[in-house]
Amino acid sequence: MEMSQLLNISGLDVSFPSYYGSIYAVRDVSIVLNPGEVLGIVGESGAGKSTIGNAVINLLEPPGEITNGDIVFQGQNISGLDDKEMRSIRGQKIGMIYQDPQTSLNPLMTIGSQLLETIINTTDLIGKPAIKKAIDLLEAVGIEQPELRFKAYPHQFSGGMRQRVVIALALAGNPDLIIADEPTTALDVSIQAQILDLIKSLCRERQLGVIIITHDIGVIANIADRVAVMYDGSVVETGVVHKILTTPEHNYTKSLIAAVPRGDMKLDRFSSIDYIEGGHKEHKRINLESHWLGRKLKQDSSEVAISIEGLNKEFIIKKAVLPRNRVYLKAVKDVSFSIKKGESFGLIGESGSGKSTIARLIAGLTIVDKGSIKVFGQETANKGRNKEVSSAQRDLQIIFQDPYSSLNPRMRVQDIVAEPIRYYKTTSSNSEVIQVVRDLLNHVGISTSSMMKYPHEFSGGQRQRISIARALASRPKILICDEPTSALDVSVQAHILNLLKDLQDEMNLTMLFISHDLPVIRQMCDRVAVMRHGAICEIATTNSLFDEPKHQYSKHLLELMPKINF
Amino acid sequence: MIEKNATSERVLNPPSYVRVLRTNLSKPTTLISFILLFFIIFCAIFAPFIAPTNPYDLAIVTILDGRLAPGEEMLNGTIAWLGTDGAGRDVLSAIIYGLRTSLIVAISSALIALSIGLAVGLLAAFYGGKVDSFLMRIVDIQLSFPAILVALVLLALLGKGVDKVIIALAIVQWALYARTVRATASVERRKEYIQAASCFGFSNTRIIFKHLLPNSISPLIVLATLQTAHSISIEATLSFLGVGVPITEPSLGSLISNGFDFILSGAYWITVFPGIMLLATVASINILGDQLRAILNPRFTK
Repeated sequence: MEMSQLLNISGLDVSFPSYYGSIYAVRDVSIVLNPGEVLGIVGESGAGKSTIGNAVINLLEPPGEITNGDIVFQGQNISGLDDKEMRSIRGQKIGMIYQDPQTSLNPLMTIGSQLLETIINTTDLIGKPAIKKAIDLLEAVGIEQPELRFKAYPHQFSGGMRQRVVIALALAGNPDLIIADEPTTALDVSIQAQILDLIKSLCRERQLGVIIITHDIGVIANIADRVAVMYDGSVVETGVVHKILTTPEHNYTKSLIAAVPRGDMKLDRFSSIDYIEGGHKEHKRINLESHWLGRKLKQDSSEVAISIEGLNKEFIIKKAVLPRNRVYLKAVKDVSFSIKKGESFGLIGESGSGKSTIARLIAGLTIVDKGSIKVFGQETANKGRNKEVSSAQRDLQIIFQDPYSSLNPRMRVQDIVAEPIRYYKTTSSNSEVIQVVRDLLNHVGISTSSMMKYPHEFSGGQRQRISIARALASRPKILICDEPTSALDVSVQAHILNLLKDLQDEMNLTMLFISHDLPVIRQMCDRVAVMRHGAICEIATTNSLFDEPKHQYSKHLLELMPKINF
Repeated sequence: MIEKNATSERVLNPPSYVRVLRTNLSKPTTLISFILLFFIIFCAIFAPFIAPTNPYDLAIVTILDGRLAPGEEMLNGTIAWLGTDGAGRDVLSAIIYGLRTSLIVAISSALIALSIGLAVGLLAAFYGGKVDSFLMRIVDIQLSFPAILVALVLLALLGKGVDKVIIALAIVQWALYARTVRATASVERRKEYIQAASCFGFSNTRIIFKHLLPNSISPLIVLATLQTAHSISIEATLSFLGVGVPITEPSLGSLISNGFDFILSGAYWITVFPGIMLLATVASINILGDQLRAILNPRFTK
């Protein structure tokens, strides 16, 4: 063991004793870090990466504890130290950066006083020299006019600036090691790049060791020198970033990299992702002729599935008695497009661009101010009059973004999927209903034995599958997917997107796919509309949008797309 | 976006009933109140079998037994453990029967108020807009009046009787349930499973009763428990003032009232023992309600 190693974790075990027995969050993990190096720890939810960060600094959430292994920092074993001794190390030797800049800063103190507090407690400076150091730190992290911003409160900063302040706080004690736990996940793509550059340059300048914990391979490719890939509490592979990304050895690493949507070309399916979820069964194609899903009441001859003309929607953001004092937000401005039957149409934009509002307008969940929506030729815009949901409306189903709130927590999964079938009596008997439900759930990848469970017993990806099964239960012809995988891990996302592709293929579904993630749109859609501030900037086929974007904003979005060198 | 790691919450915490038992059986206060509450409910249900005498059977009660001190023997041989009151009724039996009346009144009024409040709150939350504003203003007006004042006025209008007291207490309390349920239901209303149900074209009635109701009801369980305790004390106050339950079916409050005249002459037991029982009942229900509130805290629920 070299004395120049900054951090040497060997054989670390972290367990959480519980009513049901001990749970090992981290198993036999060994990691080495040298000064001036950026080590990335990548893995999905539940892999144990944040737990390692917390274990190093001994801030494990109770009742977690280190049950085995050593953490040697600068030659000293810190895993067994008590709180008092750890306090002299935290801040002065090891700094920590957490994910959410909103909650990392005390909202009631000016950032100047927070910086001073840390500086006074971790170094020998007080008074004027401490203030000077604080201002120097703010300048080093790239905050302009630091003397003025010194007296500002956290809420007066934007998210990116707050994260810079957090980095300044972490640096205040002159630490030798910085642990950054998902530092950019809560930030926009453009700000993310700036923060990562900042961390990298600080690391090189001050010869710090940095451990960056993330689930995003793009971040690793950007900033890390070496990477440790974690799965289910253990490190499955570790090495130089370039080597791991180009020639991964472990199957999980291969699956993880294969699951990241590529922004450069459209693949038929996400392949070789079978390591995760214990090997996915072959998706059996259903024969529409004989299957229940294919039995429809009437056939549609019209070629155009959805046609939108001049759609407008405003929300009141400031109420007032006099109409002229009211302030409106134009969420959707004169939007028109049409989707052909069987086509996969994408809607892309940043948050606040109006894409979810359009989805809800089409589904009839929100009242339309102006404009027309035609589904298979029938006018379906909900103009506020309480009318029965027409059968054309029922042909259209939505998959929502948040898997945690899109299923009724008090109903069993079987009942959730069966509800539309029972309500509309689309089968002849109750036993047939159960049979159809079982069939649908198997088709989306949920086993029969889990049918009587409640939603909270399933993971996020499984809940989305159940939502898809429920949507299919009303035999829709059009599926609107409102960011269905934004809340999911990247490998789960790949499985769900594969499933959607397969379903669309089999049942000739028309799909409206909404997302903020360009590579996902590339993989899923034939044509794309780019939205900004409620208006459409450009509509084009996917290939022509990605190869030759015409609108300024489209070009801007494409530039921000993270590129991983394969 | 990171998938929320719900595993830690789910797996590390034992199931609710274990937590209820553990917390309650560990601390002395909650243990005592738990036992006390079971005892009280048991007594109330099995009153005729437990009470030594039936204090309202006019054939047995005789004024010659009046104002016996605790522990003395009555004419028919039974020992009056807590003494007798001015008319010769055994205080212990009176307390047991009185508990029964108090609990019946409290629980019935709580259930009726819950039903009304639930309906109003759900409708307000589901339809929103003008319906919501209108209903909530009614709730606000109702809540701005002091409970005892409203109850007094109502009972003056309705007259005496156990059923009239139940109605009056229900009218006094429904607004609190309505406001609570409306808050929870408003949050659930915005969640996507309700929107999905509208997408399927289910009728509004179905969505309200099958989807919104089951998910909005948990804060009401805690509220109902605490309100039961509150009703018992309101009802006791009303009976003490003389406008509550009739003399033939006294509750703890009437017993306290009846015994009030005798305190200064030394027969303290006629007022004090019912008073202690009232205190114990209200306190134990409150403690249980507090425990429920802590356990059913949203942090731990599905």
